Amino acid sequence: MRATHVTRVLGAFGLLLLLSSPFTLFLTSGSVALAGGKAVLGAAMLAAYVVTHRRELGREGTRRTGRFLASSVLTTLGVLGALVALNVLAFRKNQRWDLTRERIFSLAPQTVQTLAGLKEKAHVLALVPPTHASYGELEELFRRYHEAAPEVFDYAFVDPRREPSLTAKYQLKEGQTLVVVSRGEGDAAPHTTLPLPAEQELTNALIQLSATGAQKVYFLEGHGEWPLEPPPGGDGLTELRRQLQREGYRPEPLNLLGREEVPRDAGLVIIAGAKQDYSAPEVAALRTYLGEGGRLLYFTDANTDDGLGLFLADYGVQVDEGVAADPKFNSGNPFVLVSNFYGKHAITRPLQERGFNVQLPTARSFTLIREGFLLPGVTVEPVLFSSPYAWVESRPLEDTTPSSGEKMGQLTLVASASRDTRAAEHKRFDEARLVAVGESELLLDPNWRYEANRNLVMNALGWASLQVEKITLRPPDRETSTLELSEDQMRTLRFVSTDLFPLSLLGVGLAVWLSRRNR
Amino acid sequence: MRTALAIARKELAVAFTTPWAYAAITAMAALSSFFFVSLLEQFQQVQSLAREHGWSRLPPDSVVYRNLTDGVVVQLWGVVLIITLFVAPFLSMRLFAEEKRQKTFALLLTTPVRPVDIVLGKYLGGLGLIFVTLGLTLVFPVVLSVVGSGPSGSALEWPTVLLGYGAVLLWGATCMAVGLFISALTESQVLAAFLTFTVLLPWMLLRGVAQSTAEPLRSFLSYLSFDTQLQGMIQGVLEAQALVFFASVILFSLLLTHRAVEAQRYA
Repeated sequence: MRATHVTRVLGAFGLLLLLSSPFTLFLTSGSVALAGGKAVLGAAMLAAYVVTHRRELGREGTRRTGRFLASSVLTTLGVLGALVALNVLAFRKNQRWDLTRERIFSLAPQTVQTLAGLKEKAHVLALVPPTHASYGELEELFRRYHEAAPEVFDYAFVDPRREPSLTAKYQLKEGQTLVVVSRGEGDAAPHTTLPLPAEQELTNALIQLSATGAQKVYFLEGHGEWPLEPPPGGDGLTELRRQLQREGYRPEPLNLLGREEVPRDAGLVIIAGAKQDYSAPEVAALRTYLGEGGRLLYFTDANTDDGLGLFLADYGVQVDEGVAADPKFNSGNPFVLVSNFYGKHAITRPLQERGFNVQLPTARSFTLIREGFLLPGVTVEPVLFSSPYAWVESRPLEDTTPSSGEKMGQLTLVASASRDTRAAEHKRFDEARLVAVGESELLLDPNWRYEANRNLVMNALGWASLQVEKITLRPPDRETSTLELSEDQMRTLRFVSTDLFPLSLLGVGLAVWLSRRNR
Repeated sequence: MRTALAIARKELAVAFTTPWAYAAITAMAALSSFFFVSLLEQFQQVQSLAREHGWSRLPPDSVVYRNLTDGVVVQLWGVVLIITLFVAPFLSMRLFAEEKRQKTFALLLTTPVRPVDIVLGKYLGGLGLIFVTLGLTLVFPVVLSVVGSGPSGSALEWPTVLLGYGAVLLWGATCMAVGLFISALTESQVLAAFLTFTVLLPWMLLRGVAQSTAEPLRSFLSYLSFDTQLQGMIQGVLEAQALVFFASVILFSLLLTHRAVEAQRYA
């Protein structure tokens, strides 16, 4: 074979290699080296063709063809460039018109209103792999939010498998997905996390995130509570404080001594493991605070007395004496309870969905009072239970088995109470909320890394403090329409559609063809 | 433009006197009828189950069968898009290839007709043919509006139905433009049909490829996918970007066809 024939073949292959290198880079291998290698080899083979055929290419006829080819390539590239630019513009400034009767592919007016009211930029980071079944749906949802408020709503998708740092940051396990909604810019921006959200959840998250910015969280002190700033070598709540700041709250210590009331800017008050009695004026201040629609998180411990028994009883919560123990659901010690027995409560729903086990060492349990002591209008609910095998050990230092006279059965370890306070004088919020947790040590820095407990605390905090007006969006749907055809009607329709209709068309075609053929 | 229209009229006259066009039209009618009846039967079955057990006890994806537009028409348009993918290459294959085979194309080039008129004329002819073929499918929603019923009177959401039909026509117009260009490259009709199908099918399925890639390539491929651009329209959402995208593909295909016709002068 002559050299010019070989280089002609080389030239053809070279062109193919050159043109296919972007596919290698973006679709098949993803290797820059491989794609670059193909492009270079292709260009070299093409060059070999041009060099060996330069005389042929220089002829008059070929020059004319070459000029046509060059002008065609230039025109084509020019038009292609213009069309690409137009498409980029259309993609970025896309306009959409939802022509469905119920506007089922549009954002609800409440969402549009929420987006319009955003004061700081909201950013959504979806840690969802591209192959996930809900990816397209989520992307479409986020796109609608972005189109409705491009200045304040932004989103990005990240494949958690490719970003181990983010996976570690949000403690995602293999196969898990998460959507992080942040307010403001930067790593320290307050944020909240959601499982794959629908419009209602996403809008509520935006509302809540906006609302937390103004909320002060007061940690009471003066009775041996765990401090926000621990002394060197001591236990404290540094990690909890950081988490609260990350989520947009403003945690501060508060001593009620000498005060007549809890400050008016309190979004939430936390009692984190008090070990000494609160004085009567302090209890009165707390009573007034809840009476005006305040929100309180109460964490207690075994072997402590804080003098808040009667105050809690007003809200249907009575702290049991002794320590909760469980012979079966524990982590090797009957006083270290492990539980996945959740009540039907908003606080524990996410824990239940993610299959978490909560661990409470030396916890106290509660008896819920539904009549008698409690104030009118109070609703009290269990949030977390022990297993049905548990008991309250009244002498934990002496005995690790149930004895007669000790409370037995499924114990309430976390409880919540609420009371309508719309009619209250000096009302703070429409509803008072209280969450009582039978263990305070889960708030401490060394224990804060335990994910299930941390989620329990933060969910309780969210439930108690975020009394912003949540929106309830009805999932949009088309109007119901019906079709009732009898078997006879259906048979007729089937015959006309699949038999008579196509055969008639074929008959017309045959008639036309035959008549033309016979002409 | 008058020349282009004259060529288009001639193309249509020729097409409707050949068995190919009728075969394609019949195939479209038969397949879409078959799917229409199947969808209708399925709709009736799910509605009957819902009447018996209630919607809440049916699988969540049954919700589309609450409504005739969603349960039958939107799905029918999805099927028609796929059938068009198979039928359009048969309608476009002969536009240039047949003239080349019969050696009348060289004759056409010697006449005082501009290549742009030839391209536009052929395209408009092809467009007429595909629109007639797809026009038959509009009979199904009409039948549904007669036999179905809804609380507000109309069984169907006509804006959604018509937008979906518009998407089908837009898709047909795009298939014809791509098919026209490929037909201009060869004198073999079979090869033209096969190549057109080979180009359109992966392009249609690009969304599947996009799903396994990461951003920003995913968004890029999704945008290029015919399927992604058409999905919103058949469900009732009109997007400016979809119109721009299809107009771009049609325009670019016609430009390439024009250059291919011009190139015959230099061959």
